[in-house]
Amino acid sequence: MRKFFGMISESIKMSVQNIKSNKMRSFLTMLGIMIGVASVIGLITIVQTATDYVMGQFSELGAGTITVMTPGTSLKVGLSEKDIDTLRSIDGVDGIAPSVSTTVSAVWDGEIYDNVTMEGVDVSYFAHNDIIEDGRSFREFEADGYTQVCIVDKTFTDKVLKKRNVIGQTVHIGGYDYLIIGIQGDSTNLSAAYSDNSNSDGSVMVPYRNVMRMTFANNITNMNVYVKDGASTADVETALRQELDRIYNKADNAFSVINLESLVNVMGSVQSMLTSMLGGIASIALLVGGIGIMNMMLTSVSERTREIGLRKALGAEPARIQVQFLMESIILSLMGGFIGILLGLVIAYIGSSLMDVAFTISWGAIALGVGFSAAVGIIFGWMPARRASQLNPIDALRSE
Amino acid sequence: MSNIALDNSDKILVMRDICKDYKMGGETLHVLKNIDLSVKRGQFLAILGPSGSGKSTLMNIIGCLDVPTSGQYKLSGRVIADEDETSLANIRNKEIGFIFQSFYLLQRQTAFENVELPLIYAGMPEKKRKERVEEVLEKVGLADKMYNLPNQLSGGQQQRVAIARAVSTNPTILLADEPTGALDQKTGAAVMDLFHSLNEEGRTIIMITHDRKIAGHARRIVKILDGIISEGDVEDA
Repeated sequence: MRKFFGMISESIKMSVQNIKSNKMRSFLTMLGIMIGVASVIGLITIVQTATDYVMGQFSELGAGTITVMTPGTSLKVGLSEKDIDTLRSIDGVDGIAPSVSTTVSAVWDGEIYDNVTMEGVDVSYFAHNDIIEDGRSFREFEADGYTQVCIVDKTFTDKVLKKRNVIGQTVHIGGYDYLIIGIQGDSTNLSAAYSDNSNSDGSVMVPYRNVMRMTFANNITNMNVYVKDGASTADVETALRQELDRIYNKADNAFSVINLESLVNVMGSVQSMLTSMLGGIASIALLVGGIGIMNMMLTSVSERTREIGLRKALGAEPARIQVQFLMESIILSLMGGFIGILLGLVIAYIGSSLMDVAFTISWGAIALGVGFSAAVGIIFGWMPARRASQLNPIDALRSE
Repeated sequence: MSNIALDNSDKILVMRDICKDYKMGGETLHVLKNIDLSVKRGQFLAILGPSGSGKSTLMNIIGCLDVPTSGQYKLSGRVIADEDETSLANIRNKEIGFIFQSFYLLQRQTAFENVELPLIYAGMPEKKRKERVEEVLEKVGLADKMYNLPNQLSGGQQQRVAIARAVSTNPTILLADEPTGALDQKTGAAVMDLFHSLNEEGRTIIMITHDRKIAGHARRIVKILDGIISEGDVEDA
């Protein structure tokens, strides 16, 4: 056992010595592995960072949420409150929040702001979206009636109200006075994300009937269906489709049901496909690097034929010679691999800052890089090392 | 098989009817023909022969770099036949100290590291190794050149490093192949002096040479010509 460790440590020492004495050649050989590993790590990290980000957004928006749009038919536009109650009774449905919105103007402090998004929701919306930062959400009786209370977002406070402490004050929106009862925090919902653009004056949330009154709508054409924890979103989706088919008498294009969860699944498979495709392309670079290693090791073996013969004459077993050369190729490719990982992370960092997404170091990718380069060292070093170990000491000693 | 002669224990090397054939194309070349040779412990033997006489092949077999086609070879009581590469390497490490015409030192390693090499292969721990290397380098008079690279040493000094390397593992036989071939006469003589003093310490030395004068330093000379040994039965010259 001690002999084995001695063999490994001697091999490492000799390999380092040999790599040092052939600096230029070793560096050029390492370059192949460096580029290969860097491109594998870089591409995989970028793809993963980007798709993780997008998927994160999707699942934040749509975890357990099914969006239903019901333009309806010419005979029956949208859904009535009664229809929605029918949908609410479907097994696995936790709640349905009608989603209606319109653009209105607001008056504050004598000034008029034209670009205010008014969003109508009901209580179940708040049960599934934790957005209240300050104040409170609607009470049930407020949400179901025409109560003039509103929850303002940050853009609205910044652009229109121009101060923070606004709860309890009244603002004139779309011709009615609304009591501000809450402030919503960072926009995690879609409409807030829309209102994030610069010419928007922000958005306010009000009980949905207020919006329906404002838009003269009798029916609801847009709603979020929330699925109970533990219930299958897919099952609920199927049941919704059946019920809507019944309501619209199987008319074409009367409604659409969007299950964000299934979108996330699609995204997931797109991600893994992209990852393996790009990883595959980058692996070609790694393969080329491996061939470079093999080439250098073969050169090294034939250059050092006499040295190998001498070592054998002095008592080096074939296995020891093989370990020595294998170690040299592994060290070479691991060195290339480590530099490649650093390079790949830099590429990934630059890539993710260009795409403006958070950069995360993927330990999996690093492990992959180390594993890949070690594997390349072993696979492409094996043949030259084997050749060295099988040299006949007599012929080897005699070669000039 | 009668092993009476082989079991004589003061003979550390016994060869019986050794033949070595090489196949060249369709022809078989008989390089060594029925060699009988035995060497006593502490002997200083020269194998004298011109090039092409088979002396290098004989040296390879003695040095366990090669195995005979037929015949029996016993070294330190161990029969060397059909051994695999690994055990041959171990035998070489333990039994044989090689000294080559052109020294064969690793150019990128210091004198110390060159001498250390066979001890590493023997699996000696580092501390003991250091002591041993210093001891043998001192013996060949290179205590002050221990950390020089071979190209910082003269030819004679390089050959002395090689001799130190050969004796480091305390082998049964020192096997020298034209040890003075690459040296001028004066340095060559100094190397031969070193051989004499090693022999006086009781080391067995087998020297292969084509130079009658160099062979004259040995206590016993065996001539080889066309693969046949002569005067081989003279046990003590």
